[in-house]
Amino acid sequence: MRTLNFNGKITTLEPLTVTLKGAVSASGHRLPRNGGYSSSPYFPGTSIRGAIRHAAHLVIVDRVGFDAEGKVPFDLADHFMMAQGVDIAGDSETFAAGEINAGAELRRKNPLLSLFGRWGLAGKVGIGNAIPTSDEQWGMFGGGARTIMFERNESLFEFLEPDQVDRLSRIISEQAEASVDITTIKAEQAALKKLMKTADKDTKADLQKKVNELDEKIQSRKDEKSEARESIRRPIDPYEAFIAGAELNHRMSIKNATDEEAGLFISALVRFASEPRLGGHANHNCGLVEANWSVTTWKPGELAPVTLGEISISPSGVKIEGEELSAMVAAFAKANGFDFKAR
Amino acid sequence: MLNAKPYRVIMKSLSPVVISGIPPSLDGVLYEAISQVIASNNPSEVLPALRDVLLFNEALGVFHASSLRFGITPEQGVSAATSVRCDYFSQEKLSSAMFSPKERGGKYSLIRLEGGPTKKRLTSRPAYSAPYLTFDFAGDADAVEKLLTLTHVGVGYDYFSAANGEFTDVRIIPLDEDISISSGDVAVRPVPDTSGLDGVKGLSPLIPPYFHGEKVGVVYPEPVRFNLITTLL
Repeated sequence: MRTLNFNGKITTLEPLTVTLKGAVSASGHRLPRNGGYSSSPYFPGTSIRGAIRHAAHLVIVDRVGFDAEGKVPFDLADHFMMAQGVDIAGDSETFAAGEINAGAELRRKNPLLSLFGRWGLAGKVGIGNAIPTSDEQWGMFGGGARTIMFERNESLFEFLEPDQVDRLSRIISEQAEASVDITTIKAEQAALKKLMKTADKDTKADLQKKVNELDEKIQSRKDEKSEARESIRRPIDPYEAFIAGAELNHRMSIKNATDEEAGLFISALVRFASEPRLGGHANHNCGLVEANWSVTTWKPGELAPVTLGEISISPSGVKIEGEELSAMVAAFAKANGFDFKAR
Repeated sequence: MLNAKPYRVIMKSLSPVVISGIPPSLDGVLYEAISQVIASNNPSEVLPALRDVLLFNEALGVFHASSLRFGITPEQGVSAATSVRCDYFSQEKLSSAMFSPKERGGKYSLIRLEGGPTKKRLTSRPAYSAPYLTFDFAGDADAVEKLLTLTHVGVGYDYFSAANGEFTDVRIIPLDEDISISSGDVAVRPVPDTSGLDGVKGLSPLIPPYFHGEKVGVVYPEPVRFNLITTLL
């Protein structure tokens, strides 16, 4: 067993973004940062880890294929365990706390769980954040407004019957009236919420009650509309993304891996290369990347690593340089005796 | 160990650090680094190697390695952040063609993503952002620099799986005195509560791996400590 380190770069071919909980600011969805907006953003390692784990899951599904009766041998619980490490059936093996090599047998049987882990079994794979190599490689994208299409293109009225034109003008006027009312109620709510921050417990409960009453008021205002209860016209938040062509430093590691485990990991990178997309807003053509890592390992007892080779992935293919890396892929492909249902 | 001298390691912080109670200490980070180098998780193999890198204080039973102290600049202090993780399945990741709905008595014939164990999960942990991470230690500066630079380690909770506490630009500077265990009468790392040093009282192992092992009564420094980086250089 040996530790493999992957050091390299991810280059964006399209804008790259991620939408995180709590990432909305007055200026739109922002990328995660280590500090305020003056510090550089990064692309989270967890999003990269997820993409590679899901690719590894597909490698296993393809490898196992159908059983003798033409059935898929996995059920839903197997998939959740492999792809996310979630035990929906509640039947995964538990190990004694603090036991050395706990789960060694499970790791041998199921290299996918050994690599990516589950609750109680640490994954051997560590994936770092992708860090921009220099400033000015990110910006705001998207944004704008959802409008009413008939206002943009009046020729569309030709396709509407007169009664439908009336219906449209009723919807537009109802929405305009409701929008003004709801804006006023929301401003009232915001003021109450501000007061709640400094209020004592009893006052807070009273204020919360008022906020809830205003919620009901908004709801009833919406209900007054004859149809199209939610606003059609609305601003669309912009989002921050790394620009196409941005270069991000990236590191990964597989700790104390067997050749078969390393082979599965590299096979997952190959699988990922068939659709090398990360992050969100794929509908806006975001997320396409290419990547290149040099792979090093440690020789026992030495404090400096040796280079094993290089892996490049791009939409035009995968390049694996280094005999030992290719041998790892072959070792996983040829190995027998795995049980990917083991957990 | 021979020739152990006092040093300070300063690293540029890249992602927020998750601290769960007791602040992370340098010996924990180096323990993980060594376990990657020697390809073993066995404390009886990792700890002797760690003793070649860090000075060990036999009286207190701890390594000369301080807990984390953030370095701040006039432009950026320590700020609250969150580490967010999200798990969900989309059509491309899991299709009904991949599983047998009749297995387990047809228990899983539908994939429900709205609730139950298969729901979309979003977890967030409180974390801290600051421009620099610093530790004081007594030991072998070259070995520490190599271990922090060439292995895949970070500071605090969930680096390996979620890339919290990632750092770069490791720099080590010599110090005039060893302040890796205490500064004045105040503990700067977990030490036995019988040591007479001041600090927050709690329970913790004294040596890594800190996630398991026998917990003893300790005093430890405040979880979030910081200084202007110019005063730490």
